[in-house]
Amino acid sequence: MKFIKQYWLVILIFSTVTLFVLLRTFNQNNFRYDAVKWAEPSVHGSNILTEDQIESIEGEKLIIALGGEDTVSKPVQDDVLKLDPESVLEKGNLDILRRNKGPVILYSDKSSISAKVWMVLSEMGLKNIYIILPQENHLIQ
Amino acid sequence: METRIKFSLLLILLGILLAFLPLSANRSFTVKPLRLLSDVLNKEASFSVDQIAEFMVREDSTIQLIDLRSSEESKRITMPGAINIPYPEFIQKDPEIYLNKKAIKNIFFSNGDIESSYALVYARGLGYKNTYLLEGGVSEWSKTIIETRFSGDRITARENALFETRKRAGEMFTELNSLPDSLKTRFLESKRFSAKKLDGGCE
Repeated sequence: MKFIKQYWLVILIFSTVTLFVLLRTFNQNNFRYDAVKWAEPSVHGSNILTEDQIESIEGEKLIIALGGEDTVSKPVQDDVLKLDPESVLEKGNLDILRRNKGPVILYSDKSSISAKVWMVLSEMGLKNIYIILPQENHLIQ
Repeated sequence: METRIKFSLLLILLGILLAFLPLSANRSFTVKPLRLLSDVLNKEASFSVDQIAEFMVREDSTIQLIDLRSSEESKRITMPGAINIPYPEFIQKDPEIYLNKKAIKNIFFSNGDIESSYALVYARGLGYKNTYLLEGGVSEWSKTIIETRFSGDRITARENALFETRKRAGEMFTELNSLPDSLKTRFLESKRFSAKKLDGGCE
């Protein structure tokens, strides 16, 4: 008790700083530390899959078609989730991505869109996210 | 309580704090995810090949083209005025070396859109707002600028201006890339030196 009375200010400051650090560290809606580490799959190209590779992956695949009619020209099947790229980070959509037990595959007619969304999601700490290139894609028919 | 025990407690608490603090020297994104995604998806984050052709013909010194392809590909063909930073190197090294001049628009390009898109998100995430990408990359450049042809009987003034710009930019591109490697390097360096002199920069 005497210790707390003597050092209450130090304890208060320390607790506040610790709380902020913990919130920052475990906040799933923010970017992770070490941007280089989370960008690594893009350096090796291991985040880009061909159709054959996707077929052979185990687990529940979630295919996300990014964009409107100008970026997803092929008709979208029922088991493909169609999302506006800007809405990917909405809480509901992020929860769907995180809850999916298998790989999440991003597709767009414009590869720049899927690449940008991939990088943002990867830097937020989401793993098991991949891109399929337009010329490779026969999954959306 | 003894001073020794107090001091030990303090050290333990500091140790717990340090375990969670990101004291690694590696870079982290400073922008919020929603803001970053919105920025990079905005059309203003990219330039078309025609816009780049315009900059090239005007010898605009406020733009810097950054070639993210491998050094071998870059030596074979590249854009006039471009500096080559292969994508893996761009990610591993401190981008401050290349992106620190706020007055310069840094425009990433690759063969297509993928690596330049990654680089754009990465750079903007780290807080470098003066970064953009070239839509379509070298492929689009070849298709639109190098292979530009006029067809039809009539041409409007606007189409003519566009055609002339594309033709001139294409000539500059071909002129540079037909030089032997050693001369190409000297040509690019002299262009950069001239641009710095015009800007009043020091060498």
